[in-house]
Amino acid sequence: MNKLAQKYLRPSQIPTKACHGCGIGMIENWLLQAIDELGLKQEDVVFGTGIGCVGRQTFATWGGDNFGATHGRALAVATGLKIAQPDKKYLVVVGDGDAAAIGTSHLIHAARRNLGVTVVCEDNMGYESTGGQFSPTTPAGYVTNSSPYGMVEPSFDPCDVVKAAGATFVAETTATQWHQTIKIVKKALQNDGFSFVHVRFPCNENFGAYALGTRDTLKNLEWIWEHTQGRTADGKPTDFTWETGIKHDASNSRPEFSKILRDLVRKAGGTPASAALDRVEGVVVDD
Amino acid sequence: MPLFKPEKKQIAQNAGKWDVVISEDMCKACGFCLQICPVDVFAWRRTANRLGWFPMYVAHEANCIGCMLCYQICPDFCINVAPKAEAEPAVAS
Ligand SMILES: Cc1ncc(C[n+]2csc(CCOP(=O)(O)OP(=O)(O)O)c2C)c(N)n1
Ligand code: SF4
Ligand code: SF4
Ligand code: SF4
Repeated sequence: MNKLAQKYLRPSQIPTKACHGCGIGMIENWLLQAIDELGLKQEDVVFGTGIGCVGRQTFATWGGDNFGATHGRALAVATGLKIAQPDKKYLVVVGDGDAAAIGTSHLIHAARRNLGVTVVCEDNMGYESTGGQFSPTTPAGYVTNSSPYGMVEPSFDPCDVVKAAGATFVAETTATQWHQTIKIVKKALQNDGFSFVHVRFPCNENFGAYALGTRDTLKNLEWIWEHTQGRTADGKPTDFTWETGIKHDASNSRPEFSKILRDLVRKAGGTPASAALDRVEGVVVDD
Repeated sequence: MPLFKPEKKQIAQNAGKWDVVISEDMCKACGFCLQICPVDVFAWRRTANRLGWFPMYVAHEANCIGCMLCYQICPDFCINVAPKAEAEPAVAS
């Protein structure tokens, strides 16, 4: 097991539950590198997940505090935790279905409120744990288990949506851009506000098999790389290109949600609830 | 430019200074490390591990140039690459 997995993860949860060649473990490895480079310890970070392959793979791997929420609701749980324990870093790792379909409204409102969490949306372009149905991020025209004639709906860019909603840090990368992803996650974790990092990764078992016609791990990862570069391996332009990098950086430009709430409770005269909140911060108030 | 370049380079410069370790019991044989390594370090085992995969092993450690590409790409946290500990200086008798 690599050094950082030994330092931060629970050995009983490794090897990963993902299929061979699945990008979920790669991205998790890069998250560990970002956390380590920032000098954060297990007890500094709360790791939250939702449902699906991304949730199942990352749930309970983190050696420190972690939680698994119901489908689409990881940000509701994270909101409560952030209000109760504002000093921790919250890393919420969810699938595209979780973030951009069933959980869209939670995502939009967490961004609007500038809730102090970092959401890593690991996007395999479908609902892969339930058999490879299309999701809002499936590229238009692509064949999936539930779109045998090609996805008829246009796709949806969660980065645009969270940016419009008010997220203070928004970035996009893919599972072939390790240095860029580590750098971006570090910046995201340093924003005391809502950060959203969208990372595309290969699913061999479903997206690969239906949309690309292959379960060859190398071909599926190469396909992700080509769409990052805009060129196929033999030099032809790809059908579409993902623009990756930081899309919006207004880090620490406006107050974080839980801080606004605490200030408000104090202004309102210090109820027992505010005392409880202050105790969490280490300041004991007589009630 | 493809991500996986089939041709392997013969790089002697900086080689031989790295320990490469694979947890063979965790390897799911995706083949990424073998393909991404710019020099020839990895090879397939002919016996299955406890997961049922035929894992990768470190066949030519002396070729390693410490680029860490294999470390970054492995999806199953299997690989560690670290500089070799300096050889103990011989004790004069
Ligand atoms: C409330 C609810 N609705 C539906 C489901 C069924 N379900 C489980 S996983 C999943 C899709 C997950 O897709 P995504 O979030 O993209 O994650 P992936 O499996 O692709 O990583 C669905 C619909 C559920 N578990 N809970
Ligand atoms: S079904 Fe796809 S996304 Fe899920 S673990 Fe397997 S390869 Fe990964
Ligand atoms: S660090 Fe890994 S990829 Fe790089 S030369 Fe060594 S074995 Fe090959
Ligand atoms: S990258 Fe990791 S899981 Fe894949 S073959 Fe190499 S050691 Fe095995």
